[in-house]
Amino acid sequence: MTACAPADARARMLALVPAGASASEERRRFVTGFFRRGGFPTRKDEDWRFSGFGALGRIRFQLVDAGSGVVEPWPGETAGEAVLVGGVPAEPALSPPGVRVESFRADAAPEDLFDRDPDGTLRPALPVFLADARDRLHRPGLDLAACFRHPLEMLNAGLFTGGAAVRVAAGVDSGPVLLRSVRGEDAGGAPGMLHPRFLVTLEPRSRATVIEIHEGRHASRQGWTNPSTVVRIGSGARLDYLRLSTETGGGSHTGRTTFHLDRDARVKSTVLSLGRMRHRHDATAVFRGEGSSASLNGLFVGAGRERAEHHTLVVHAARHATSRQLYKAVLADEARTVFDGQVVVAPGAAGSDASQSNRNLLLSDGARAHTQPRLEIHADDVKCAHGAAIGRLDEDALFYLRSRGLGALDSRDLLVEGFAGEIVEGVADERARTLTAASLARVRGRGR
Amino acid sequence: MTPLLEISDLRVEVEGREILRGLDLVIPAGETHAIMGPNGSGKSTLAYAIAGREGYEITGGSLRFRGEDIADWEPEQRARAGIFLAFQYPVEIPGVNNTYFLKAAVNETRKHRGEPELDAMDFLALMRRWVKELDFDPELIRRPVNAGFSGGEKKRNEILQMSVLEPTFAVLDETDSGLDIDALRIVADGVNRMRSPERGFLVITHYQRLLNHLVPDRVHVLRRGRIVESGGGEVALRLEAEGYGRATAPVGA
Ligand SMILES: Nc1ncnc2c1ncn2[C@@H]1O[C@H](COP(=O)(O)OP(=O)(O)O)[C@@H](O)[C@H]1O
Ligand SMILES: [Mg+2]
Repeated sequence: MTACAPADARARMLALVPAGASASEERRRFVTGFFRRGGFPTRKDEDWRFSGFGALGRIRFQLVDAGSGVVEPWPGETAGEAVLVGGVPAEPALSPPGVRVESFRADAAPEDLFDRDPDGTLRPALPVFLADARDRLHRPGLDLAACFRHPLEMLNAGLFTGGAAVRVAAGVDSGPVLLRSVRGEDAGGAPGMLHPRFLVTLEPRSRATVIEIHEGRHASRQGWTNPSTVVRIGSGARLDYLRLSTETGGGSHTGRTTFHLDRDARVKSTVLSLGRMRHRHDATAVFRGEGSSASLNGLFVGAGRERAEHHTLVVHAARHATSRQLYKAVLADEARTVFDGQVVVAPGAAGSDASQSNRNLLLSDGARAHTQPRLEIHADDVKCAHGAAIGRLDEDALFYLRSRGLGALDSRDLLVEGFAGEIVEGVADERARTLTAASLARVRGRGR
Repeated sequence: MTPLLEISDLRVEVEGREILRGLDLVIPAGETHAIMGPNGSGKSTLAYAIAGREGYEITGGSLRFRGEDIADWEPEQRARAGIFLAFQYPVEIPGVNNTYFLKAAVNETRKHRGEPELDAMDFLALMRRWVKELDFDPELIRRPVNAGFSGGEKKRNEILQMSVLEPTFAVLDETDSGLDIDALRIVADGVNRMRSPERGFLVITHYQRLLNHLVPDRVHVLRRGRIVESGGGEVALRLEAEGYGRATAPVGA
C-alpha cells in the first residue's frame, strides 16, 4: 500500500506545509500520517474504488498563487461574507450582528473562534477535529475510526494556507452568510493545488444560512481543489447549508463537509456539483445528540466526459435522530456519476430513522450511473430505508405533456427541469437557481 | 359536411400485435358518442391512436380529423389542432408544476391559432374561474402534475385541463371509473357545458350511469378491435342489463 507514496512526494508535500505558530509541527504530523497511510487513495481502497483520482499522486503540484484570482461581485443578498482567493483572505470579512465571520491565514488562525474546555484549553484544534470526533464516538464493536480515515481530509488539514470561520451566537439568526473560495493562478506553470478550510459553529438555538461556493478556472486538467468544511451545530440550532461548485477547466475537485449535530440540532444540506470538472464530495453527518436531524441533498448535472461522485456518511450515534438523503444526477453524453451512501447506526441508537434515495436520469446511451448503498445497523428499533433508480425519461410522462400541446423538446426539458427541481426548489439563493438552470441548459435537447 | 372525426377500417398494432382490426367510426361535429366494451377490447388503444401515442402503429385504414389525414401527425400537432385525450390513467409528473404546465399548454395552442399568448395574470384568472366551476381543490393546482393526487382528483384534473384548453374534439377514456356520484356529475357537467355545434366527444365508459348525465347521440360496442354494434341509448341500457354476452358473440373472423 505504499506504492503511491514515494518519499519524494512526501518531501514535496512536507515542504509545502505553511510555516508559523505552534500548529506547524502538528500539521507536519498530518502530512506524514497521510503518506504513512498510503498517500493518495487508489482504487484498492473501498471508498475510492470508482474514482480516477489516483493520478493525483503522480502530479508535481505547487500551491496556487495566493490572492491572484478575479472576484466577481455576488449578485444575491448576503448578511455576512468571507472571500478567499488562492486560499487566503482577499478582503476583510463582513459580519452581521451576533455573528463572527473571519477569514484567516493558516499561521494566524483566530484561536478564540474555537471552543474551550472547562479547564480553559482550546478544543478542538482545527486540524484534529475529525480525530476528536472519532475518539468521542468510539463504541465497542464498531470501527467508527474507519469512517473518519479520509486521506484527503488529512492532507487538507496539513496543507491549508488559509480559510474562513463563522460563529453564530446563541439564539441569533444569521441571515445568509457567504463563504467564497476563488481559485488562484497556478504558480510558475506547475499544476496548482488548493486546500481551503472552513469552520462553521452554530451556538445553541441559533439559526444560520451558509452558502459555500467554489469558483474559478483551472489552468489545466491537472489542477486540483481540495476544500474541507467542518460544521458544529449546537443544541436546538438550525442550519441551512448550500454548497456550490462551479469551477471549470476539467481539473479535480474533491471536497468534504462534515456536520456534527448536538441535541435537537437540524441541518438541511444541498450540494450542487455543477462545474465542468471531475468532482467528488463527501457529506458526513454525525448525530451526537438525541433528536437531531439531517437532510442531505445533492445534484450533479454532467455533460461531455464530466464526472461526479457523491459520498455520504451518516452516523447515528445518538437516539431518535432522523436522516434523509436525496441525491440526483442528470447525465448527458458520456458523463458518469457515483453515489455511495453509507449509514451507520451505532449500538444503542434506538429510534434512529434513516432513509436514502438516489435517482439518476440518463439522457444518452454513453452516460453511466453507479449507486452503492451501505447500511450498517447495530441497534434495534430502527427505521432504515433506501432506494435507487437509474433510468431514462419517462415515456408516459413525455406523451402526457405532448398530448397537451407541448413540443417534444420542450417536454423533455420540462421533465429534466422537474427532475432536478426536486433538489433545487427548496433553495432560496437566486444565484444557485440561475447556475443550476444554466447547467441544465447545457443538456437541453439531449433527451434521446 | 365533413365529419369531425372519420375513422375507416383502422388497423393498429401494439408491439407487433394487432389490437384494432378494421375499426369504423364517424363522429359529426356537434355529437357525443359513447364507446362501451369489455376489458381488453381495444378502447384505450383507440384513444391513444387518436391522440398519436408512439408505439401505436397504424398499419391500415385511415384516421381523419376535420377531413385531414392525421395518422402521421405528432401528438402535439394533434393537441394544438384541437384534439384532447382525458387519460384513463393520468400520469404523475413530480417536479413539474400543474399551473406552469397548463399555462405552457394553453399558450402553445394559442400560438398555433395565431392568438396572443396569455400572460400570468390572465391565465391565473382563467384557472381560478375553472377551479371554482369544477369544485377543484385550489391547493392541487399549485402542486406537481397529478403527484400524490387521489384517483378522483386525477380525473378531475383531466376535466380541468380539458376545460381550460377548450378542444374541438375530446376523448374521455373511462374518466368516470372510480368516481362517486358527485364527482361523476362534475365530469358530466364539465362535458355538457362544453358541448356545442362545433365540438365533438367520444366517451369511453363501462357504466351506463355516466350516460344518464351525459346523454350520447350514439352508443357503439367495441369487441376485439372492431365496432360490433351501434345504436341509441337503448344499447347502453341493454348492455347494463345483459352484459356484453350478446354483443360479444363472435362476429366475422
Ligand atoms: N402498451 C401495450 N403493450 C402491450 N400490449 C398492449 C399495450 N396496450 C394495450 N395492449 C393490449 O392491447 C389490448 C387492448 O388493450 P386496451 O386498448 O387497453 O383495452 P381496453 O382499454 O378496452 O381495456 C389488450 O390485450 C392489451 O393487453
Ligand atoms: Mg382502457
